[in-house]
Amino acid sequence: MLAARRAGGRALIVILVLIVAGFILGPLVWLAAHAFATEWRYPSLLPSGLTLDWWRTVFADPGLFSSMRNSLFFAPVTVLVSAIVCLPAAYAFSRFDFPGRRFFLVGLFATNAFPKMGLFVSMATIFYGLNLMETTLGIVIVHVIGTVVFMTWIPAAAFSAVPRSLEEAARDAGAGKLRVFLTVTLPMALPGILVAAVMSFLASFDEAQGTYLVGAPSYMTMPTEMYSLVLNYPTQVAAVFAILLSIPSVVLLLLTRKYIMGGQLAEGFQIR
Amino acid sequence: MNSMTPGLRLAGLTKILGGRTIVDDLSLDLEPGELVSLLGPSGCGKTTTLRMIAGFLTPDSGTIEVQGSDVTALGPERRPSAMVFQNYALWPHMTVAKNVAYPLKVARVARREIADRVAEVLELVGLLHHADSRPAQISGGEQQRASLARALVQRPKLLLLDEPLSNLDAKLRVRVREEIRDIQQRLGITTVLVTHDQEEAMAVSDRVAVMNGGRIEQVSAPAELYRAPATEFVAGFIGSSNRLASPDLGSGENDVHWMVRPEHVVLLPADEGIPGRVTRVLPHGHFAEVAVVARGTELRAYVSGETPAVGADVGVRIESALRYENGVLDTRSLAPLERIAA
Repeated sequence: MLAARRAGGRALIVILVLIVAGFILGPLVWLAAHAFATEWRYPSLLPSGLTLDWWRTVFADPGLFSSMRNSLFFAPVTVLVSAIVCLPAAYAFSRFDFPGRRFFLVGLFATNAFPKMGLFVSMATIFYGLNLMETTLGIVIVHVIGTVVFMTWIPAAAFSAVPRSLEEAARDAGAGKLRVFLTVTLPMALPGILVAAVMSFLASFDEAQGTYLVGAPSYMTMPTEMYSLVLNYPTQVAAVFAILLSIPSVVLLLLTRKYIMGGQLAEGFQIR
Repeated sequence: MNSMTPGLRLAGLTKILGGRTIVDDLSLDLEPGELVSLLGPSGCGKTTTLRMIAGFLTPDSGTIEVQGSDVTALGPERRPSAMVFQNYALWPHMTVAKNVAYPLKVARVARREIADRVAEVLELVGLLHHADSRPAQISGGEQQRASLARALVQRPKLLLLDEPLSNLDAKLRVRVREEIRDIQQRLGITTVLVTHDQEEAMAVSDRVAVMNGGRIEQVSAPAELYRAPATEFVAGFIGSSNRLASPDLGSGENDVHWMVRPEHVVLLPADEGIPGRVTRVLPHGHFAEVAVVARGTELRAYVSGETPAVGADVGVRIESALRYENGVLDTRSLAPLERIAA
């Protein structure tokens, strides 16, 4: 009786896991199948044939490599600029109680509170006046705006998790404020900052709307290039491009997983 | 060392936080090499005082001198004091050796000398075998000693201990406090220990400063503190005592109380002394705490050997009592009871 119930419970778990896996992996499998299929339409269960034509089409696209180059340029630059702008703010939010602290902290969500397109259109109007349209700086600004929330909130939480007594112990040991920050606070908050950096990198890497509005046609990144491919070619080309677009994200996540999930940096979080 | 120059001088220290006077015109001198405990209930201002000495708080008035030089205006990084924190405050991303080496690195000591001094101090606290361990990998007692090593490696003129043992279990606490006292005496460092544990303060200190409401009620050697508490607060805080209106258990004078230690309450056969009845017996191993009601007053007595049963009729004799008028000790009552009564 008990054994039967336990087996039933296990079966339920397996079914739920399969549903979740299907939900997450299904679209990816669909993408992969389409990237190699000549044609695959409802109601046929299998693609009608396999081909590498779509890959040839994509690799023949003159915009592909320049868009890759642009994406691989803008994403790291965005992370860097965002870190320089936001990390001091994050530290201030976590350590100092200044007037309007809560207002500004919540206010950071403003960029995410409105429809993106509306925000970008009004930004574009301002950018025209400032001659920032179709410039590197203009695109970086658009990308950084999209990362501000990650780069402030997550590191602020990470800084707050560093016990004050650890900073005081360093002051007591003779270190000045900057040195305390660089040798104690920053290394201990690093896992959180790393998470924020990865999320910012991916946000920048996937940003299409704003980049299109401000950068096109001089600056095409991979997502904006995909937009034009989707409009001009069959779905299968978009599938190929989507796979290419996901490679850097996957590589990045695999690389940082090691640092965030295990190893010495995770110890910083055990103190909480 | 010139005996005229104290190891630490606190003069008129006052700190007001959020409109409340936390430390109130506190003055205290420590002899060089002396260990003085700041003892008191939570909120008495002992930690605030220590944080002012360390430099984490600026006093609203008063001065702090370490071996004759005024450090009141200096930040914590420029003071010749080193602190051991309550939660050890070891940096989890560094090994024990790196933690201990940090103050020397900051002070730009040569690398060879750093290695020597770190090894020396780790040997002193018995942690040399854990030099390359991370704080998370060693026990609480070992973390405590690593934290002490990090303070000692700076060769501080003043050692500050902030409830250093409160996170250790009872057995370990006794051992580590003996180790700390031993090292402190060997190195001859002037030391301030903050604690709320009177047993700990009494066991390791040259003198104990009992604090209450931001002021020092009494500074004395541990034995003296127990024998002659200067105020009613100290008498109630140090050890246990019976607070009576009169030593004969009758009604007393206004604003006068008598404090009687449980060991000075002697139980006699029923027909001797003041008649009373046993209401509770709490065995403590080598002695028992016996509660007796006599003339409507409950008294606690320490009894070794045979203990009376609950409900038994006994006689009570009070051998020694201290008289407090308006909360202050009447020093004449330090003499045996018969003489004051006369």
